[in-house]
Amino acid sequence: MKYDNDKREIILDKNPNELDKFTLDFLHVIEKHIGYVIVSGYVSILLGRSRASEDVDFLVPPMSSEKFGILFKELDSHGYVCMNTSDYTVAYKMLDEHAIRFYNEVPVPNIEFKKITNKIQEEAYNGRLKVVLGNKSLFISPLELQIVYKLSLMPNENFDEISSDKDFEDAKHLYETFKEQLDEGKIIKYVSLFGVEEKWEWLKK
Amino acid sequence: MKLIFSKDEITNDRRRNFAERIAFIKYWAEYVRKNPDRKWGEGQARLIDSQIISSRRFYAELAKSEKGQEKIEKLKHLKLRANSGI
Repeated sequence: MKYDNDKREIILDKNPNELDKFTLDFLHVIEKHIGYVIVSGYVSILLGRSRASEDVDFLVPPMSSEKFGILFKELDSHGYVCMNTSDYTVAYKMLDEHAIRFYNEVPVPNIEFKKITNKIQEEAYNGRLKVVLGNKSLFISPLELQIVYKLSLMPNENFDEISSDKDFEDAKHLYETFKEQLDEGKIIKYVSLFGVEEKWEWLKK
Repeated sequence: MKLIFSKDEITNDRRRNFAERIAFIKYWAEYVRKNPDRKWGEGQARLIDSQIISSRRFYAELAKSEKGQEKIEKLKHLKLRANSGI
């Protein structure tokens, strides 16, 4: 795995697993229509974390109802089912409130499809990182943001009370795998913005 | 005889479990750093593919069962509710 921070690119030379193929198939349909960034658990999994997942989280910029309708119909023509509704106008309205989910054939794994609605999500999209996997490529959240965001999702309890925590472990995997290449200044900035100083100290142990 | 677990015992177990999980993550991350992607990717694929293949099998079997489609619809709604925190 080669991480070139200047080019904002990671080159991966693994054979895609079923979750990678599922993700690549989905983005092959959507990327003709909209930009996107993949966030959350799949970022750690793509970059080596040894766990499975039921879903892959996509963030997309706001778009018009017409554009969304075209995308929705194209997803439908490729066999994707929206779990929430089959009516694209209803799905479009739902995006103002929450994510919608798409699957192909069976409901697991599925895509969590969410419209960008806040500054954290904008930061993830604007700073997205390209991952080249064979002859395909995909965009993921910047690692520094991903690590700190995962820490912010953890419950605010004493570390003595935690037996296992998926979010902390995802952050730990990324930190341990890329610690020599991460931009520490960026991390410190995010740590302060999210108020996760104690968790960050734990992560570095 | 009444079965009683001490609080200390439970806390120690929790701490040990957390420490062991973190130790494994560090070990695995080092493995990922030091080995070719294809090597760690193969192990990772075994874990991930087995989950997806068994999920496909589960839904295929369920679809064939009596009221299978109805049950699948119910499962979809349960998943949506669980994910929306309702």
